[in-house]
Amino acid sequence: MDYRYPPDTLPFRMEVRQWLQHNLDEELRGLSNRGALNPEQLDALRRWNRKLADAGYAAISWPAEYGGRAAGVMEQVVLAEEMHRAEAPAALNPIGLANIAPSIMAWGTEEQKRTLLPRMQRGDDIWCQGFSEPGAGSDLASLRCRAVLDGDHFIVNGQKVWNTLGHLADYCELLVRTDPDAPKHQGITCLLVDMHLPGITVKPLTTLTGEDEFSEIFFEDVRAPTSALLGPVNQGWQVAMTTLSNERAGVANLHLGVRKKIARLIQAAREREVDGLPVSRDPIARQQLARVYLYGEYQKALADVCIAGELNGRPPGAESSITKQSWSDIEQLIGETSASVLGAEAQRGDWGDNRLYSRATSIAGGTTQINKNIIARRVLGLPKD
Amino acid sequence: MDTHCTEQQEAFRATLRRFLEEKAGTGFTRQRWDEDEPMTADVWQSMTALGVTGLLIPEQADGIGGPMSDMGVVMEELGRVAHPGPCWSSCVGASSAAAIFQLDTLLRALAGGSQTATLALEEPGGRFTCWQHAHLAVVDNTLTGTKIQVPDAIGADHLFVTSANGVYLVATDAPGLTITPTECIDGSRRFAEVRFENVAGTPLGDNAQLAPVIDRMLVALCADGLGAAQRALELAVAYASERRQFGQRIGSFQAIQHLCADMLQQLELGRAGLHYALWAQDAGDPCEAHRAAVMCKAYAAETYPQIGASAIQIFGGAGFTWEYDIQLFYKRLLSTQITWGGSEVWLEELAALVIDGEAPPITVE
Ligand SMILES: Cc1cc2nc3c(=O)[nH]c(=O)nc-3n(C[C@H](O)[C@H](O)[C@H](O)COP(=O)(O)OP(=O)(O)OC[C@H]3O[C@@H](n4cnc5c(N)ncnc54)[C@H](O)[C@@H]3O)c2cc1C
Repeated sequence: MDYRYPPDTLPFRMEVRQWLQHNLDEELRGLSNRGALNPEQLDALRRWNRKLADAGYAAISWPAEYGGRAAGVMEQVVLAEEMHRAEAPAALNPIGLANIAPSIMAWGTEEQKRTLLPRMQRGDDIWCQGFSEPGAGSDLASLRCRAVLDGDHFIVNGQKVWNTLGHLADYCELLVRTDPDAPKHQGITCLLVDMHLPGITVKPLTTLTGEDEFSEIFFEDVRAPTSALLGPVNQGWQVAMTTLSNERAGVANLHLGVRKKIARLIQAAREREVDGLPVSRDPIARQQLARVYLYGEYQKALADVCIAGELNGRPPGAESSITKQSWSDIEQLIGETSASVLGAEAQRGDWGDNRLYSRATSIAGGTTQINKNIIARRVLGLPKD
Repeated sequence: MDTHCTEQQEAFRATLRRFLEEKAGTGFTRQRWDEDEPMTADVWQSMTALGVTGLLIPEQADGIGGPMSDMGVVMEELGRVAHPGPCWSSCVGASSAAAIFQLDTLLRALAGGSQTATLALEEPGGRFTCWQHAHLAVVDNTLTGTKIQVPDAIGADHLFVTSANGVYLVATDAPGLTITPTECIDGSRRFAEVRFENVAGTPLGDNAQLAPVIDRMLVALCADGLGAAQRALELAVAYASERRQFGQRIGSFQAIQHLCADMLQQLELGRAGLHYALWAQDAGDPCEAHRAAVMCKAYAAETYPQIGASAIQIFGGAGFTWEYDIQLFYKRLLSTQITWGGSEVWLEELAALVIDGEAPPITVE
């Protein structure tokens, strides 16, 4: 049993740390990749992305032929930790880099890989994911957006919803129904659609935090060339599963954000006074803060189990199936704790936003209930009937 | 880096599990339930032969000199059968204490299984107070007062007793010492009240020297809890996969499935934290070892009883009977929670470490 990182990660850590010291400009620090993104923010993030890409840090897990370093889990973890430590902004293409790119690598043609991946990596193209529809969320396979083959084009008609970055996107990983008569999982196809094609309308959708972060996308007789096909026709479900299967390094880094927030919350409690005493001296607040701290540390311990599993070549176990869910629980616990520890201060600014945004963590990327269904059946082996 | 047990540890686990299933499973636990003495000589001899009693004792005192991560394996396995013996108090607690105070004769007796010993820490009238607030009066190395909730005192040969003047070693057959069993809803564990009336003791040193022993015991108790919680989940899943109502297996009902998924989440998070804490006991940084032990106990106290309670719920009426084993594990988890302080105690200790002090994060980043 050993919870220490392998010592040979140190040189890479130092390399990254130094690079960040020289290359991360002050105005970039703490910049969010979330929300509506005004043109200046977008520009700044894009410049940052290019810098990362040129230095070979934008997508280190990718194979070298597509601009990565074929980095293992440990380097990915170290890079994420150093980025967090330096308060570097997150990538402009989070969904693209982590989810869509692996599908392109697994299913794409050489042409697609060569043309799409480098531009995605540099942030030249922004990507969104067009999976959910008004009638198809958790039950994604019931999606109805239609595509009909017409010569060397697909003609797409339908609607997608809740598409993060949709309003800025140049490309969309789109799931469409190509065989309405087949069983629902077997008539779906995946297309990589150019968002500038005629017939596509994007309407910003305001989130409950008041930002135009995601959108609705309408397709009206959009002609997408057959070269946009990702994977075989009617095998889009398998392609989508590649996209949704979490890679372990990503999940293993979820603790970074929460532990930073927890440290901030503890600091805020030390500074805030009630009845002449710091909140951090209040017995009830102390219990709540200690609890949220404990859960943050346990999320890290869980991440270590995931990392060690990959390092030692074990298939993902129960730990990886619960990581997203326990992370979501902590995000929401931080929200509740901030409310009781900081009072009205938790109603505004970052704390207010953070509390509201934490609700998304148990919905986006598959709801907690769907996750529990999967754990019950696949991990615990509970019966279907 | 590996957070899992080694192959040797898994082999050790398999040997222990086989022995416990054959010779000292839950049937044995039930058989000892109402006895004052938790153990039988033959089971204890087998534990000695398996290397449990000598596991943490240094090699020069006839022990194995093993790490806490090995002891974690033992405790998880003992928790899986709600084992009634004094392993926690004696093989973890007293053995570690005897090593710190270099009590060579006692160490040999403990390693060989001919004697057991325990720690007397708690005093009436407060929350679990650890070593900082021992009030027991001492005059000329003679102890007078009361200790409560002393684990496995009946059957033990020696007590490590904290007092206003530090730690004393007291023989349980010393004149003036009386041991009275304390009632506990968990019959798989034994606690007692110990009264001292001018009892002669041997001074050993400062109470604070027991700090690492207490950390080890907290972690070991949680390892036992993890084993019991794991078993509770296994039994619940097995029952839910067989029991039929409304023409279908109850494990197909989503309400039951989500209870099980929640139990798994609590369990796996606990396992990650526990293994980290076991490793930290061996890794050598006392601050990290303490913080990890404190988190471990706070977490176990707060969540493991919920795992037990959900398991009882899944068994329905059968869960409320004496007959089904699930009750054993529920009770084991309740005593895991309460023994040496519930989550309030350890969350406050954690607050003292991380709010008042500046505890480092788990790995240096
Ligand atoms: C911030 C954010 C960003 C998003 N970004 C994207 C994106 O970029 N691209 C994209 O395609 N989608 C995106 N989504 C959509 C997201 O994937 C869906 O919201 C999610 O899959 C749930 O679908 P739904 O909203 O239709 O809810 P529904 O499926 O209608 O679920 C409503 C409620 O019913 C429960 N429920 C549903 N089915 C079951 C069941 N079988 N058992 C038990 N309970 C059930 C759910 O858990 C939930 O509580 C985003 C969502 C959010 C919040």
